[in-house]
Amino acid sequence: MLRSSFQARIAGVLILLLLVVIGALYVAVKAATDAAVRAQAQEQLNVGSLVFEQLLALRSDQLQQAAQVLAADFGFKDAVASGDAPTIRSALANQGARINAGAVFLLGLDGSLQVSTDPDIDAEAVAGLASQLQQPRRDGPRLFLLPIGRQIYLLVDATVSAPLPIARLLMGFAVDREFALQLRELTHLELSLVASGDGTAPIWISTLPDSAQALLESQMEAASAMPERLDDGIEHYFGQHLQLTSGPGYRVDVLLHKSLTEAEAAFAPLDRRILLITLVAMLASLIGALLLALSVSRPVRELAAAAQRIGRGDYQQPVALARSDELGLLALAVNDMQRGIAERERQLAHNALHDALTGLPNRTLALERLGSAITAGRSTALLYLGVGNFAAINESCGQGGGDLALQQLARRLQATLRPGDSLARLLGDEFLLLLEQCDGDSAVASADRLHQLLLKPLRIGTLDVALDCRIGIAAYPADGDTPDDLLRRARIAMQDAAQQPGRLQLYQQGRDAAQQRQIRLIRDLRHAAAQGQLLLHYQPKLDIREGRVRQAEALLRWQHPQLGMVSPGEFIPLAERTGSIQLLTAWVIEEALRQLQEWDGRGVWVQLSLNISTEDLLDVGLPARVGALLTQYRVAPEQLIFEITESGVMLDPERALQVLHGLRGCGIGLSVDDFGTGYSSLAQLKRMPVQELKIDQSFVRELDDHSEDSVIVRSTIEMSHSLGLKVVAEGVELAPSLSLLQRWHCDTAQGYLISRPLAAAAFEAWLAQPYRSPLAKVH
Amino acid sequence: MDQRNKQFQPHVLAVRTGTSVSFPNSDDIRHQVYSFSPAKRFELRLYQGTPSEPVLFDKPGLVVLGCNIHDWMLGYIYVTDDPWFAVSDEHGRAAIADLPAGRYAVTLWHPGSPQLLPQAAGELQLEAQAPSQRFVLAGSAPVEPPASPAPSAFGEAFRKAAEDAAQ
Repeated sequence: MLRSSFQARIAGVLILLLLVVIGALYVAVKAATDAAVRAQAQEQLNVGSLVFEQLLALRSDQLQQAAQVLAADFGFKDAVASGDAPTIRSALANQGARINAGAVFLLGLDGSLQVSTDPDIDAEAVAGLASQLQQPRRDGPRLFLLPIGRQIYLLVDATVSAPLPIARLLMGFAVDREFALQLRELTHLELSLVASGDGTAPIWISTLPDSAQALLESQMEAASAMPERLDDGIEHYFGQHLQLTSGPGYRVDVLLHKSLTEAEAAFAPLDRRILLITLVAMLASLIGALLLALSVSRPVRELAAAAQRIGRGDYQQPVALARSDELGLLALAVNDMQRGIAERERQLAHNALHDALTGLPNRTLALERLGSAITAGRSTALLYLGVGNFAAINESCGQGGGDLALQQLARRLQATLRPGDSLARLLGDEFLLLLEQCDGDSAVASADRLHQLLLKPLRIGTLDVALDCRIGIAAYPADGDTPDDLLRRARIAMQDAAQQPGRLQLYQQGRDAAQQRQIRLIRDLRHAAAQGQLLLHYQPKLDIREGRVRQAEALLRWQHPQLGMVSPGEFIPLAERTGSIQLLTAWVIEEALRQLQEWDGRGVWVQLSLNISTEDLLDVGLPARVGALLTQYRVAPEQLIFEITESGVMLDPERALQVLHGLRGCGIGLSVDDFGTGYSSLAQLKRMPVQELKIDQSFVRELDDHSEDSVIVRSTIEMSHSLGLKVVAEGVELAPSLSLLQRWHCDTAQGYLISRPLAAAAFEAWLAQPYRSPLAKVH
Repeated sequence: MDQRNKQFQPHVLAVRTGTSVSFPNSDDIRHQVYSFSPAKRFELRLYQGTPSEPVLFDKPGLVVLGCNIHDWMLGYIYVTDDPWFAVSDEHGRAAIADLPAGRYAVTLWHPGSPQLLPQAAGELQLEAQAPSQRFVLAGSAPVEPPASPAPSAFGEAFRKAAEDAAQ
């Protein structure tokens, strides 16, 4: 396809150029020959016209002389003077025959016809011509061309003197086609004599072919002038027009025509030769184009084939094209390119399957090897190794130090490999060892050996660095039968190993499902608020002194569309870990305010406690946002209590304190949640603008008179009161606990003893019931 | 009627009817005098000197004379029955001697007359003494006496050749 189109294009261009040149040449030659033909024809016409006039003059001269000779003949004069008509007629006929003049007649001095030898010329005809015959004499022989009857006569006259003029002698002949043909012989021109008179059809004597003559007649009649060119379809002519004589009521014209066909025929060989040259040149250019295209297209085809080979990935066979031209250069370049591509492809293939830093196989290659082991049914153990303190190493040694550590680690690991085992770097600080023909137990033994080996610190520059390596183990076929599953489970085991003292963990069945659930929860949690899956439950808080409930803690619940109700203990830590806790807090605050507004509208006054996360405490924009929401929902700030944890404040005390003061400035109550579980200092507690302590439920749940817990609870209550803080005890499940709390002057109690957390409507209904204090049962 | 220098001499001759006129040839060449006029047709064959017989003009009328071999030679003989006639000189004066007194009709003719016809010129009352009377010829054109043609180039060449041959 390439070849043919390329050839066709070259041939096309060449032939087009050739045609243009030959066309221009042909037009130029044609124009020149046409001009030459015309000029030649014109020249012949001019010459022919002169010859014609000369011939006519000569002929009339001869006639004139003959006539004069006759007129001067004494015998003739005698005969004329005798007035004897038969004698005169015979004399005239005799003289006419001598000079081949068909028409001879004698006129009296008064112009009347005396005698005529031509029956067509009678007295009547002569009377009609009287005026024409009386024309003044011109110089030279006097010539009359006159239409008489249906013929044109060429006449000359002579006077018969005896010695005074006694008669006029006119002699001549009727011009016929034969005469015209003779003239044509001499002039080489077609000749047409046309005599036209008033009211009579013109008389034509022509040497033209009948068709041309008919055409000319019709054209003359139509245009009343002779066209310069005449074309009857057979030949075409170039014409010239001469008026011979004219008189009153008549005129005689001669039309001379030169056939151009004849002249053009002379140039026909030239045309044929040009055509021949054209054909030969076209053939030659076609062959030339073909050869040129072949000489280009064959190597191009070879190059195209080579390119296709390279495209298919065959880099072995070089292009064999020994040429010194551009195509040869191209072939060399293609060969270079082929080598380059082959080299780079090898590099790419290596890079694709190997880690650039350590030169170890990468995750892809590891999975591939694992896959082939599975396919072959070889039992294989995966040792997933992670460095727990790699971030710290990076920090202390710099990025380059981290890389060096990884390289050293890789070398150490590599040194332990048995034949058939393989090592890969998966990502960052995570490595994978594949141990073939190895079950879980021997894998644990190997891992343990490895652990011992890695305890020895690495030397990075001047630093000795100890690695905190964790190893997770999964085994094929026990822990999975696809490379992905095995790898994931080994990684889970590695993560779990972080929690183990020995930093070693075999994969536990079901860990994977739990992690899958976590991943799903983390993913879905981001959209839970927007999709209306979140709701608040309210757990009443009993005012112990007054024995009534005016407070509640708002607890977040998540109704997952597939997993059902998800416990806050499960999703809140996930939210804290993945950074979506602030979204949840924001939703909780707004929902609580909306609910408060709703209850306020119905005359239900409740003070709500909300849990605020550590991240929220670091958000300096929180007080302003909450203030705006309070205004928006028209809720009194006293109705809100934010519960914070000690650890939350510990993380960044300055900023947390700023936020807390901001919230307090809004009028919102603050409570320290889970008091007693953290490591807070009393000095810290003193700085916080809180009004309430919430004793962790672990102290309260099983409270009795003499336990250590009771000492803690009692002293906490006393200390708090002395600091001016109220005390809430949560997790109150037993009536004796409540009575103890009452005795110790605890302010508020919260727990299943009073009520479990309730949905909004249920809580409202619960409030509406008259409260039967469990204390009553105690007493 | 003489022929001198290839001209008729005189140009016009008037004679009474019945007069014989001789045609002496004073040239050293021959002439062939002829006339086809109705008044007198005659032809004197080529001759030199005086022909033997004079020509008798026995009918009145105009006789135009020509020479067959010299086309330009032209002469007129006016043959009349009138008792008195005269031919004028080059000034148009003619004299008739011994004309008795009386009353005459006068007729004029000239080579230039229309149709070569005589013109009536009125009447003449002649008393005893000899008068001079002027008559006007109406309608006539002055006529140049015919002259011999100028020698043509061919004629010149021929004459020169003839002269060379004679020497």
